[in-house]
Amino acid sequence: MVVIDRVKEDFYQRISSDHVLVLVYPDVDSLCACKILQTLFKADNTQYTVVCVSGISQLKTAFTTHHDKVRSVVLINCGGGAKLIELLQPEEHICIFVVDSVRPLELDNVYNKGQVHIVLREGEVLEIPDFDDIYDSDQQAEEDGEEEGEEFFSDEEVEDSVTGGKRRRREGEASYEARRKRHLWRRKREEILYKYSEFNYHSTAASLVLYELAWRLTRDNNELLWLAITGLTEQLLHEKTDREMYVTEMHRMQPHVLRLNRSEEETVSAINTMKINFVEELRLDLYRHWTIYDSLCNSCYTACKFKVWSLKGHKNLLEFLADMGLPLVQCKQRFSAMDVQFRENFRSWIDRSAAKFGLDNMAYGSFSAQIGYKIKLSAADMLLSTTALIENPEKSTEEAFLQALDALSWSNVTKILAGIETAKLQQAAIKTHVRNFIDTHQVVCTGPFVYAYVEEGTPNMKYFSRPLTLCKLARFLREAWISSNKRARDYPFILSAPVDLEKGTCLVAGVPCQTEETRRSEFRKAFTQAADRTQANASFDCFDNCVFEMQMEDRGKFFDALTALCTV
Amino acid sequence: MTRTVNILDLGARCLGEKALELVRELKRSQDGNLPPYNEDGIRQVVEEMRALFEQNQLEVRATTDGERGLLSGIQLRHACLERNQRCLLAYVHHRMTRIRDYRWQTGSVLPPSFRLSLCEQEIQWFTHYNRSLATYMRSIAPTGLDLTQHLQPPKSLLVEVRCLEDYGEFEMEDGTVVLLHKNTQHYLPRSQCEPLIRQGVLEHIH
Repeated sequence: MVVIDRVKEDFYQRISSDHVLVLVYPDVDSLCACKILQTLFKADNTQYTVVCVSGISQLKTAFTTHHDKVRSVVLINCGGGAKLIELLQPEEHICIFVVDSVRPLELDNVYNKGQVHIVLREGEVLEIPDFDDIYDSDQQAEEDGEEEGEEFFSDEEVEDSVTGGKRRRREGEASYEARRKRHLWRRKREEILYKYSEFNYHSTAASLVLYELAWRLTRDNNELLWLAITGLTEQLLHEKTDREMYVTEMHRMQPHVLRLNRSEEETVSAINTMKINFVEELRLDLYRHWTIYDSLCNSCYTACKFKVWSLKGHKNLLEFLADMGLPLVQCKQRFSAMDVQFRENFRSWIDRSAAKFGLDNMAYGSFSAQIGYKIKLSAADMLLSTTALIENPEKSTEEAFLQALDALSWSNVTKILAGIETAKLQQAAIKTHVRNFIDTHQVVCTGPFVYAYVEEGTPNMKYFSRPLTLCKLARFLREAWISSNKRARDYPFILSAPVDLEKGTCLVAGVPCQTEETRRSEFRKAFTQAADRTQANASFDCFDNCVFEMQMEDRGKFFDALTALCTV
Repeated sequence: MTRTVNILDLGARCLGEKALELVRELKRSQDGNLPPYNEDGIRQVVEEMRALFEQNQLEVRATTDGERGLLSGIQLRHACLERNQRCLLAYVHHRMTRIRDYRWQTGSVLPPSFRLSLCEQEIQWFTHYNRSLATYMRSIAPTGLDLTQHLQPPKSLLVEVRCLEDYGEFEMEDGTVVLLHKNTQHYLPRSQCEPLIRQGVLEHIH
């Protein structure tokens, strides 16, 4: 089972005495969570090993190679939805702790007694079906599983059953009664399971869970808080949770920020310490490290609102700049090199003009961190930089993962700045791609969803063979498509890109429709069903529920099957 | 019979230039490997010194016999002799320091590549030094203390390392076995990681 509330005693103290194996999924939230955990381990002199796993098969390999050397295993954002005991077959003495933001969690993991523990934040409530509805306390029931045929229950079998179930010892017709009841129970169970696993969504970020642990151990500091904030920002900007949940979480973070960053007017605090404060962030990616013009053209929100790929849209953008009072020459300069008066008034001008041009949701609450005089980063900057580092196309996933892990410590802030440069390239590549898609009308709107392919041989294709960037492209493309076709607002968007040209596989990513507020997606279920129907060679290895890999030649009939499925 | 060599026979070169070249050779090689012992160069410098000395002897004798005007020549040659001596001593001393540092950083075994750069006497010196160091290390503690292990005081008991290549299983002193797979990160006791870090299998992450 054990869903943990007393995090410190039941989780941390149990693992901090041994050598721990930490298996981490390569996305920003997991990286931040891993870093927080590493800091805690270092303070306690706990030995650990960190391995990057991006899919179920990798999880299994990593576990089998490392497992006979360790007693505790921590899974961060991986494995929550997979049947861990079946998959990994751990030995008796091994304890597996799962910190996963993905829901729904696999019920076998939740109800397992002793080996698998799910770590939750204090006070979180899991919406899971009751134990009795899923598992009959009778041994026989679990072994029967989903069998249709009903065997005859002999007397011995009835005697062997553990009471507590619904059956009593009867003879003859009574067993028919028992069989009927069992049948009904089984049908109800199937319904419950279907409803339970229908939607995939995300709950509290792993980095927030581990930050709370650090807080309870009174080992929290600004660095860990910043990591937690980055993990939280990922949930918003990568559309894992909705706005309301983000705002709630942010309010939970506020007291921590205030507590650790008390500004005293009288005493001069050291310049080299990190300070975090609350800011209203604009939905302009990386504008402080880029030029305003580039940032406006390449950020998803503004690019799609203005439709910068069209001539009219471009003119609109220039009008917007003129309305703000920023000369074009200044806008094409790096932000830090702009004239002081423009830089300082930029925020107020943009707020004023945004409403006029239809940019309603331009600002959102967020945090920014500052070290010394030179380095000031917002949470969004940090997120984009880390994503770019994790999905560096020139390195293998594991190497890039370790580099990104390095970059998260503030002594290596130059790596974050280098990551920002990579992120700019990535963003520009995404936008160019979107423009191509729109211009060549490659986006197809079949009834229930909208989809597009990234062709082989497109320039910068290497960026899109990784899940996070592919999803980013999908979101951008969705926004761009919706800006010209309002009726497509209610449809989810599916994008496919080639990932391995030799093996002929492609990655397929789905993003939910824009109006969906709760960010619950049914992609995993829909994809698996469509793949089954067409016997497509697909692997649902990835822990991200919206992404999977399959052979390119099966793509066409897969989409047909998916259309058929969704129109039903 | 001492053979008088005319300075000009050495080819019209500046005095002390050969010695300076020896020193320069060492300076240039500071980042790289130790160059082989330049027997030729040393021999030439010694020759030069002998020639100067003999000349000086002649002139001193001549002066005591009463000749004038030779003193400045004598002083000049004496200054050259002293300079050459300094250069030679610097050469030998620097090489000695390098060899000693080699012992502290790498170990007491001389690989053939390094051995080639040393002359006979240097190798003998190295063995003597090893012996003295070992005797001293044995005398400090009953079991012998290897001073060359930790050249800088360690900041922490455990150190974060990244595995650069597949090493396989690594057993530590307390029995736990760690699998060193490529691109994994570990937090392990410093003393047991140090040899692997030196070998290049692990990389220390700050």
